[in-house]
Amino acid sequence: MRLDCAVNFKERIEWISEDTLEIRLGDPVAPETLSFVEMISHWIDLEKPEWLIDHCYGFGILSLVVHPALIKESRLIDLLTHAVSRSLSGSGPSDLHVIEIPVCYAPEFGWDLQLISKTTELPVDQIIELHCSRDYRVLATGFVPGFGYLGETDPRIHLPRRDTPRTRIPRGSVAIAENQTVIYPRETPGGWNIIGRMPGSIVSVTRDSINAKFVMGRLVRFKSISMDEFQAIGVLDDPD
Amino acid sequence: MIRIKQSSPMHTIQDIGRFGFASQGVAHAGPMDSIAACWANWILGNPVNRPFIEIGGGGLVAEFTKSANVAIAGAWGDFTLDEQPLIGPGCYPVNAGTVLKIGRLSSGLFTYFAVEGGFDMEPFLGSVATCQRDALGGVDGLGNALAAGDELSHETSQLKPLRLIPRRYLDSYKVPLICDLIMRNSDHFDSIAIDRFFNQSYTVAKEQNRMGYRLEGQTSISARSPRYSIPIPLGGVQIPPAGQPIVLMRDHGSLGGYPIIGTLTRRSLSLLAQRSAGRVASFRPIKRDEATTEFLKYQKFFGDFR
Repeated sequence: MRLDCAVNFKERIEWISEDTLEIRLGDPVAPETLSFVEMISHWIDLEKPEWLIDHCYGFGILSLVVHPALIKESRLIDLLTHAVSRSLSGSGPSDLHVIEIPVCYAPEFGWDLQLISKTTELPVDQIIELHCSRDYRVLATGFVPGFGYLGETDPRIHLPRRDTPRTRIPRGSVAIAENQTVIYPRETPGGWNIIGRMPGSIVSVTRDSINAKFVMGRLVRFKSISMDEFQAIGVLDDPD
Repeated sequence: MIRIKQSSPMHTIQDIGRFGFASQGVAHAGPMDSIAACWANWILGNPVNRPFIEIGGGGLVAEFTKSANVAIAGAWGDFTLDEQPLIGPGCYPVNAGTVLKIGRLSSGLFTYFAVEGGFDMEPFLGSVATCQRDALGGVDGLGNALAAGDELSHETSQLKPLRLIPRRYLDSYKVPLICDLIMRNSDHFDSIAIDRFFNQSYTVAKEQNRMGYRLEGQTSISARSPRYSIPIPLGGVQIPPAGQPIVLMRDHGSLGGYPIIGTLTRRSLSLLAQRSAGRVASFRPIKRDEATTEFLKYQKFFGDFR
């Protein structure tokens, strides 16, 4: 993958509070942007810089919480430039391991399939087929632990979020809105259109770590399963 | 130890917050009013990150089974130790068997209660901070609030004389608040919207919790909606389609889809957190450098401050 070696970080940085700055990395769905995020995240994991308190990425913007007394902007720019140029020889986003997620699209789980069918004028079977027909990339993680924003979906199934969010969406619900698809890691409120449910869980939180299936930049594929398969996997996979 | 006799869902164990997991969607949590919380640990000589109790809305009764030095800071009201009224935010020596009552509040929303050495608790993801949204931290590690019957252990310490936090450092939580705001470069707001935003006052709405405070102004602020969610900062001021601001508090989600007009300074955020529904606030722009100078003063004084 070709990358612009001379990334001008100075022009891309904005302090948005006393200890938080944003770095604009580019087009949220461009592979280059995802490569930048991977490189910088990798560098952060490796170096664990003492001036860095936390970081978070979402759709083209990397946000860093820092100790302002410990890092000057000029030094930060040098470090970022170095982190990006050093990993240029490495690989881009890892396409090797596609994460396969089984999904049951039965009406009991796919609450909004009928409505989507009406809006898009596509039969339910075709909506399911379109959802399973391509590999998605994890464009961002966050909102709640385990939540990943996957894109992009087929333009034929693009539709807005619901006008009024639902107060309770069951854990494992698979949903679509705009050009993206998501899975709800646990029961939360939400405004996306629900099309199915995955068996088991997508994230586990221990005392020291979070183990999430969705990692920035990785590829994800959905596979349609029957209700019987859903129940069988659910029993095996679910420790609850 | 201390035994909780009476509590409410707004009473939680906190520390400075849970940092390092935002990229996985974990909220920072931590004290709503970090200035008052830092004072509570400071006046006891504790490191800034020792666990303490955040008491939202008053209504806590606790009994000490052994002697302790205790700090109470932040929102104030009808507070007693064995029926003797407390005279102000500070550090009080307490004998075994004493009952602390944090009664009705007359000023502010969040009172901080710390003991010398802090409460002994097991951290989850590096912090004991209670986050109900993430089901993390607190007494059981699952994000639950304190409840009657909970017991919290702490070290035994030599009793110290009563010591009050100097009055000049105490803020009023009742007067109309002018919030300092660091502007965010954005093409989501035109100059008319920005003028409107700064040139009116707001009342704090009833919808206020550890995730965010909704404010209500006379005229609504128009904004273009962004296509994608972006990282949202602590103290960020979101303008949703309805045009009334939401200030993001400690338990806010890591990403959000509403445009952000700017970020409150950490001092303004602490002071706003203490405003109950109906109190008045407005905004004025401040340069980031100026805000950082103030922030670094707090960091230097308390050891750490976030």
